[in-house]
Amino acid sequence: MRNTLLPFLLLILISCEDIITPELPTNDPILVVDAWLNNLNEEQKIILSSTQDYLDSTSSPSVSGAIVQVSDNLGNVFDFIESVPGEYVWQPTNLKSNLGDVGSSYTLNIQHDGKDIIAESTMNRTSTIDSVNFVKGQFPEGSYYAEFWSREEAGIGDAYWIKSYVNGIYQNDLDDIITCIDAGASSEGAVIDGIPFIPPIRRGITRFETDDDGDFISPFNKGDSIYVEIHSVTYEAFDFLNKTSIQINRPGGFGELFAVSLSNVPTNLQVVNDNSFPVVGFFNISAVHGMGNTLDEEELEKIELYNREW
Amino acid sequence: MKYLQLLILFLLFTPKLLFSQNSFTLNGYVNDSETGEVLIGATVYVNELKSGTVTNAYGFYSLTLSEGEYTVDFRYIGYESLSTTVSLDANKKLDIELISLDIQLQDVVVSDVAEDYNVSSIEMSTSKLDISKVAEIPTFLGENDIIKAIQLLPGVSSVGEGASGFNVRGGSVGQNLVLLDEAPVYNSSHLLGFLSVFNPDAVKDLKLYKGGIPSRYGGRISSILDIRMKDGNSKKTSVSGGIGSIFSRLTLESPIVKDKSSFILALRRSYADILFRPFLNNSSFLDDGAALNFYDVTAKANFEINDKNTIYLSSYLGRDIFMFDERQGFNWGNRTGTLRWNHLFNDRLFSNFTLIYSNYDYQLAFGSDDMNKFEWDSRIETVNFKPEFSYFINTDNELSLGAELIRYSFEPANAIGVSEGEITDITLPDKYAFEGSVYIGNEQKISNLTISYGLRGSYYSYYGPGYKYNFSSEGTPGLRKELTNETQVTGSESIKTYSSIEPRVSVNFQPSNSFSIKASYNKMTQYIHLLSNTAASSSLDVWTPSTNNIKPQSGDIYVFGLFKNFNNNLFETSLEVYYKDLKNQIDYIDGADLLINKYFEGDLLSGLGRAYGLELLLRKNRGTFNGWISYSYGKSELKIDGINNFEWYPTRYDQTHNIKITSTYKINKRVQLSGNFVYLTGTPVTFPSSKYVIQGFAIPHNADRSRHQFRIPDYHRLDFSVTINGKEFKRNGKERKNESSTVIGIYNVYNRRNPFSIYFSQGKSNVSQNFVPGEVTRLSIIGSFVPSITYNFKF
Repeated sequence: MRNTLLPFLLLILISCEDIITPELPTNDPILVVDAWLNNLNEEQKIILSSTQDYLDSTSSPSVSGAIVQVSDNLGNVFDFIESVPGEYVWQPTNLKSNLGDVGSSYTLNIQHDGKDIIAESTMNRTSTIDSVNFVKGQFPEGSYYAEFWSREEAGIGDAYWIKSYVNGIYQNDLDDIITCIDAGASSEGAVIDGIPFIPPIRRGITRFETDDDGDFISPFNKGDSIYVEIHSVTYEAFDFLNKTSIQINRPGGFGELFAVSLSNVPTNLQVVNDNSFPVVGFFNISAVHGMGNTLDEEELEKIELYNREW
Repeated sequence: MKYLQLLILFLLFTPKLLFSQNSFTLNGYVNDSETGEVLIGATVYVNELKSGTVTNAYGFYSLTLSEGEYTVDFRYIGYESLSTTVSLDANKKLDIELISLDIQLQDVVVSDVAEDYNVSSIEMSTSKLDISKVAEIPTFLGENDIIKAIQLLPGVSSVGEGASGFNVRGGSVGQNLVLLDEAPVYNSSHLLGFLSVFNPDAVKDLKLYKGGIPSRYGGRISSILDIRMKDGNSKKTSVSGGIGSIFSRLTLESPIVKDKSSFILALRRSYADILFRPFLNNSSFLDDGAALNFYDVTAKANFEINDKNTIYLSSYLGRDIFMFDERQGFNWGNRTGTLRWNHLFNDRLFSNFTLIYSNYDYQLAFGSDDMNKFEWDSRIETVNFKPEFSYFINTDNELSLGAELIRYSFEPANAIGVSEGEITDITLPDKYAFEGSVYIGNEQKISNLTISYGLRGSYYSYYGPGYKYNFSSEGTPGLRKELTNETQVTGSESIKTYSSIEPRVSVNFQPSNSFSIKASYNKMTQYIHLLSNTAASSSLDVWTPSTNNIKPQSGDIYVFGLFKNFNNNLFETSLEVYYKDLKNQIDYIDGADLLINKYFEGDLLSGLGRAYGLELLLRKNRGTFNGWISYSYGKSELKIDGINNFEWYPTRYDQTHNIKITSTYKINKRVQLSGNFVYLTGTPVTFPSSKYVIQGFAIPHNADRSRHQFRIPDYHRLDFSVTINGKEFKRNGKERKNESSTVIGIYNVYNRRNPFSIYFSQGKSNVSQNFVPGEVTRLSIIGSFVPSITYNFKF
């Protein structure tokens, strides 16, 4: 939506923003649990850190020496061993190539400093990607966009987080957080189910940027590759990601008139033996389906042949 | 019930006491001699009795006096007073025309204008703004604006440029009832709050009730803004208008039958789309059907059928359009229509019957073609019937009686998404509600005490077809409530009803001509609510009815004031203190989802509110240099379980100190300077106390879960304007037909970047191994001075 917000910003050529450093309140460091796992045959990582003052830009303080375990409802226990300070890792083995399958429920258990912290999650089903395509773009002329095709399974209540990798690099900008309930709803009250993911979702993997002159940069050029993963998330994890996105993805400028004020995002972690001990963060385990494509000669031919556009 | 019985007894006895001799009624209309417009609130003063009345919203007055000879003065600010002797030996009709004082002659001291209205009237916390005063105030982009003008009155504020609506005495935007010729206007802003939808060229009179609200008004708890349109020049055709920086205006007024019927048609359209073309050379915006404009059409016609019956037909239509291309964009606007019939049953019983239609809707559309698109619209539509009676019993008693029946229809969201041709309809169910009220009130004078007392009773029903949602009352307050039950109601039976009795009392004790002490108590109830959890109230906010989950808002409002005039009403001063005790005030959970969400009621929280403050005003009404200074101190707070740890916290629009200075200096007949200075304490803001990293994103965190404990920097601004009136005479000595003026203004003269909000973000940086970003940005909506030039004409 950035390209459509631009005319608005032009409408009021006189609004402005200043970066300031006011005196902000502080709090004692709070334990942060970043536990997003999946069913891929690869290393799984849980990061424990603590909060830092808002204006402190040094690296996130790590929390060491905790005991981190994930267990499922089938009796498996996965130990996460601290490799780098604050990072607790589980490696797949010959016997266990991944953390499990769709339908299993999981419990995260952390013991640190005498506190017993737990969280629960379920591995929900994900949606299968049928294809990832490149199409002709309009901004600027001669550019290329990408979109993926997947028909979301019928049945209300699935939630997803779509991630993409361009030329092998994980797209982790603020407006790269693509999440939805079913095929594109953002609240439980609106039902969009069992159809292909709606355009804002499937086209969300294409990032629009402008250069210093305000001209659009082509999102994809010949030779670029894109890899898309659909991660299933629980409804609570979707809610967390959605609220996080709203809080951190600030429109700035004129768009701030429609923005909400600062508020905390939810957590699904609980401290069993001390409910006055604060903890933030989230635990979720996803099923993942991924597929990629490269903007090579073959793809360019297909674009011309089928006159692919959005 | 005891109160009601006492009221009825009082009313029955008092008039009888004064009917011991022969009494006759003197009544009629007071009009402007040049245009025929009726004058609202003109004073009709009987010297012998040292008492009188004022004309009502239709310019009508009625005085029942004992047989005799009287000297009656007719006065209205900006007009030459008229004094006449009346021999009252029978019922008499006396229509008066007052001559407007030419603004250019204001340097002549007019000694007989004794405008002591603020002292003598029962009204308190009421501001009546002269429309010609509105024209003098320097404004943003040189466009005269009513809402901007009332924001210069004590107790009125706004959270900043870009915010729709206005706040009155610590009340929210949705707590104001804005009426245009009796029709409620649900969104009074164009261009996101920079301008209002009211074309000042079509407005005759406006009155803002901040307190001491009479029983004839109800339905909102904070204020009533009653705007009356001009009827249209009934004496001659007049064309006026202006060319400004953003809007151009054209108004046509003409008699249909001289002195009997007339009409007015006022048009405005913006042309920013034309002005901005050169700046958008690099994008394809504004080609392919793009549009960026706002317009409004205000029209009214009136017909005097005979001296007992007059019909008025008013209509308003306005729209803001932002289209990126032929298919995509958004637009919003209001449509109102009012049909009124004034009927005089007899010399003392004036009645008015009004039928009203009002609609506010917005539409959004995205998508390049019909295979892939998203369309969403939302609407509130009301039909209203109001019969009202004013019974002018005698000079000491004026009884008002009436009812209001409102039928609401809400379409919170009609939305469809089409993905590769597959249509998903996420339309929310419509909602219906009925609000019926009856009121009775009397304004009674007993020597130097005037009391206005009344009662308003209302009944409300949220009815089907619709849904009834039930939510769990367990769970942590402040988190989304779980839906436990959903019932569909297919017929039109009631889902939930509410009722209330609202007593209204005002007292004015006037020991001398120039000093009075006033006090009032109002109970107010509000059945529909404007939901908004964004930084500013905007065009996308949704009105919602009270339901089984949302209770009506109510308020007990106490006001006390001292009013003193000096130098024969040359200077007006007043001191008012108010206290509002509010119930069922609405706020939202963190991350509330209010749009296209069937179950949004689970995201609402309710609790208590309170607002209190003090207002001081010093005003100079006449002379070459005039204006006013006002200072208000106010607090506006809420206490809601689930927010700020269940402790009182400031509302979004709590602005402690509020200073307004506005003045006009007439250098000579042709040139006039005006200036405004505004100072407002910064609005409250929530700050984070820390941040943390999850999945590579830096998330701000407020550890103590407080809300609004800090403030953004204060707001202050100075505006100037120069008005140069066109020459009165042509070179050949003849009077020029065109009364023109050029207004050159500068808004925000000393270039202050008044902050609108402070927000927290990663800025342009990402989280990395050694770096966790955390920026604090202060946003100003208007960050520089804004010059403007406007040319006005009138034939």
